[in-house]
Amino acid sequence: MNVILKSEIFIIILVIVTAQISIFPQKGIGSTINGYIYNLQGEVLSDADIHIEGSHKGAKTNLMGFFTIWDVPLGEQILQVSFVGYKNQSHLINVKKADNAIIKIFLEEDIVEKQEVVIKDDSVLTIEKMFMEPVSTIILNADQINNIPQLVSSDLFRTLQTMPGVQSLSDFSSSLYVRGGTPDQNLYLLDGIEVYNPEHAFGLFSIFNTSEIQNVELSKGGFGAEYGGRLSSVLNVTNYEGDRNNFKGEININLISAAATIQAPLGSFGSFSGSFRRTFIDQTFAKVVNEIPDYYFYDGNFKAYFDLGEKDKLTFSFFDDKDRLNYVFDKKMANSVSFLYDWGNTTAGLNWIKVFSPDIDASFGASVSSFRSNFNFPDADFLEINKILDYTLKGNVEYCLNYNLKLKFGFENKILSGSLNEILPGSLVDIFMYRNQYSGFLSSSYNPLESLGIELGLRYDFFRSDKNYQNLDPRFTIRYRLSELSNLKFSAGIYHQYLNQIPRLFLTSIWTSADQYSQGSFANHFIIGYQRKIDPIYLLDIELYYKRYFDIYSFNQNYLADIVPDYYNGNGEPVFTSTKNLYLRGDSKAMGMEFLLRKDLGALTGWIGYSYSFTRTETDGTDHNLYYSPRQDRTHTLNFTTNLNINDFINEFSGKSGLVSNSKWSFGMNFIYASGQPVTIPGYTYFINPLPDWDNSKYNVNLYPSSINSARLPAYIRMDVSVSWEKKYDGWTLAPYLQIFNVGNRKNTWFISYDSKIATGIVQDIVYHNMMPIVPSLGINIKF
Amino acid sequence: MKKYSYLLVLINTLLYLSGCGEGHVDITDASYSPKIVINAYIFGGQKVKDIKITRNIPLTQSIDTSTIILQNALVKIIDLGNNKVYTLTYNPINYSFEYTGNDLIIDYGKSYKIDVQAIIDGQDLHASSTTVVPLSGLKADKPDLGSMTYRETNANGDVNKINISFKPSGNSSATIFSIVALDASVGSFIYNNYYYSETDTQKIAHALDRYKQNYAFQINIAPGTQDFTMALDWFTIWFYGRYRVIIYAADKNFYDYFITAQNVMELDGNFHEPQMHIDGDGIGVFGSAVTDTVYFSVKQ
Repeated sequence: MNVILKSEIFIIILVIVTAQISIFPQKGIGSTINGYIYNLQGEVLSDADIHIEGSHKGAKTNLMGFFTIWDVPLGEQILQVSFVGYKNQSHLINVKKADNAIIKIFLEEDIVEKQEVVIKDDSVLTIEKMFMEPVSTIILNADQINNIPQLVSSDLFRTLQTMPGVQSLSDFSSSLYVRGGTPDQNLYLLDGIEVYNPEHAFGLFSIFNTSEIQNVELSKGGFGAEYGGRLSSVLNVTNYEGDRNNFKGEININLISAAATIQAPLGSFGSFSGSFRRTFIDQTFAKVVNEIPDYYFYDGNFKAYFDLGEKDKLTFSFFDDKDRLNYVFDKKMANSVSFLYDWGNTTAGLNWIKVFSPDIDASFGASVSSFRSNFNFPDADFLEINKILDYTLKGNVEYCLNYNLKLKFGFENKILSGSLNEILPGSLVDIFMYRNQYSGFLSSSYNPLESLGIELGLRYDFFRSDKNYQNLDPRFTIRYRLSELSNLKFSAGIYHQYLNQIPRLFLTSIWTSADQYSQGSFANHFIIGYQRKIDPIYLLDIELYYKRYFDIYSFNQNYLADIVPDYYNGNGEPVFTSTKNLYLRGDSKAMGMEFLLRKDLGALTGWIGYSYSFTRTETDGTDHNLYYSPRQDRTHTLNFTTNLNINDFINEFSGKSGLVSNSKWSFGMNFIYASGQPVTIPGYTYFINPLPDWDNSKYNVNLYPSSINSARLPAYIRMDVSVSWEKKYDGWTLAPYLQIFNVGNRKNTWFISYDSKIATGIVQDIVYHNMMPIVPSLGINIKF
Repeated sequence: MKKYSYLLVLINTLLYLSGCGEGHVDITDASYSPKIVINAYIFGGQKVKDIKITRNIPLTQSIDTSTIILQNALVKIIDLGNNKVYTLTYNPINYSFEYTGNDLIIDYGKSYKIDVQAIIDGQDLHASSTTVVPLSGLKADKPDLGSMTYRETNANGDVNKINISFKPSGNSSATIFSIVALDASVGSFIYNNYYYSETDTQKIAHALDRYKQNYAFQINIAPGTQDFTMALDWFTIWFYGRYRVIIYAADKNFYDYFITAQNVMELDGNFHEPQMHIDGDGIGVFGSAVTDTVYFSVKQ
């Protein structure tokens, strides 16, 4: 988009914002109520929903767990409070004129007894809550993540892949492909700090320990002006801050790893939470089975919360993870050739939240995030060291001008440095980048009517590289209450990204940035959403989206033929210091329709998701610059995820609803059907010796690709199940479980290859390479 | 209750059943169009010979190496310095085209074009390509490196590399080393190599060609470099006995084809187009090079 057009958009936005401020109605005749929402452990709950029963007046808590509801009618009112994973509560309050009292509400976790009787009180609240939620947003709590059967242990990314619009490429990769985007277009935030490579075990698992997660919010598009730097999605993971009252802990042991989490108060002024997880196959199976490599990963979280007063809160969070592979080609052989590969992230951050007044609150944060990987293969003369270091300062201020107009503004400054050093036989790669990104945003949330909400936002980025880039990104969302049971939403925006990733299968990806050779990418999002509450317990969410991506960069697979050295060292060997010719520029478009039917309460919980999607990409110089289906394009995806509390299920149907038991059996099931991935198959074979002096052999048969991704792999179908038994005794909870991944042992094709076989002439045998077979696993959860 | 339970069991059973089995990929729809396959290299200071002109074959069809040759093709080499055209003739003994006259010796640093016309599947096809021959000057310091022990170590205990020192050619895109084990056999295979222990002789016999022919390459040697040393990895050595290393100072056509055509399949099994510099209805390579040869032996 050119600068003139952007300026026009900016002026339009300014006019609309100014108009909003000038036309907002005068304050109503009611009173204002303020308060905090906590869990029973005393942790504040941000993003909790509070509503006045019988009206559309409500609010969400901020990062302090603080809320303000304007213009509440005087007299007795029922305050409804809900937060995902916690029991809903109703409170009778007496609203008086100029009431300055602060309300404090403590929510109880909804762990065992998910009684549908609560739903009656919830009938208005749920749709109110949906109305308040940003478009295309999935919010999950720890229970929902942990209850889904997965590969060996619960995993955040694989759970998110059960939602419509979130795809995976294979069983071997947990990377998220959101609405036609690629993994490098997702912003991963852990307690607000960006994480650059959020995967363990070559992509098999995510780095987020689900025992430590308090809640997760994934925005699949149309996100607000406070977020930037990515084209597709924002994943916001919030860890526990710790129990304010008691010491408590959790231990999980499965066949490959063990994890421990503890929470405890820090005197009367705070609390902390910490967790550690490590695989132990290097200490067990790898000692006796030669084929299993010496490999482990660990991750550790620490988060501390400090009350600096009623209006000030400080949190400190720390995360560290590491994967390490010491691969010995033949463990039976002394002095066998080996290589060492390790990688990991470290993040640390301090966040100060300040409530200046009931109308103004703010958060200020400073953080550091780093990623490093080292690959050392002495026998091949190969050494690679990759580092990225990110220092971030940011601040957000929320200002409620009136009961129907809220302003939000903030800044972010990132100082990024990254390096890639490779010593290869006969050449060197020595890339160092130092980048600065300055961003500022302003957004307004305006509710001219009780049934209408409008959010306007504008984000400004200045990215300093060896070439500077600056962009203005307008964002717009409108929410309309169609009826007491349904909402309509629309969102649109422009999004810019300045970082690109060189994807590497089984090796960690390498980040590079916009520079003189590859400019920043940008995308336009258009989303229409319809939400409806069906019956008292089902929620239907339907969304249509259309996205255009411009100047996206894909890795040049033929880079070895195209790269040009920047200089030569003393031995006459080439040295590469730039990303020139490493990427191919392209454009992309994605559109789709998503259905999500959820049941969050009752003995049987879960969701059915379906998405119909269409993604097409064009890459300069590839297939005559025609649009083709990229690997992540799957036309149909159906997910069916359920968790059945067997005890409650039996009780409900035997008329004993409401009974609370000290033990329970649960059954979990996850089913996925996805159209086959696009794949390029060879169009024909030809016969050429790779080198002029080589003998003729069957290995000289070459394959020439047909049109890119013009064929499809077979449909991907998988069903996982889990059974768990939970027993409570004297403050302890014991929960052994059995999980079976791919219980039907379906042979889902990962890829196909071709083997030249000499028969009558040379023929091509198709070799199927399948993904994960049936994988049963056992584990146990202990809570105290 | 019962109905609800039966429904749940039924749904789960159906989903389970659909989660069994396996899928198949249909490759019969792969797009095919007839192409002239050019497999042609010319070398500075040498005659034009061993130019192989063949055709491509649909993926599902077996390759009969004797019938894919386009022996009736019209193959010409054009010296772009003087636009003189040399028509090649087919040699049925080695199944390739060559120039039989004595008035064409490939000159260093000059540009040549290949032009091929042939009829495939009733279609009159035409393909051409141009190469710039690298400058002369490639010269190995020692034509025979002598013999060495497999993965021999120096006084510090470090594994010695197989070092080939040479004077590079002036304007080549890359230097490619073709490493061929001249005594390769099941008997001379290094079974106790350092990468994996293999005892199955049938497996070795099956993949003998793959083990015996290896390569290494060096891209972009600095212009003006007088002496360069290439260290060959022991990964390229799988047999005891004599080795021949042909050093090719290759032009861009040669190198691009070599480095991309062998790697069209990505790690996740997908394919991408190689870089060939052929115009018209052709694929393959028309490359040029300057060569030298080195020998060495590996003993137990």
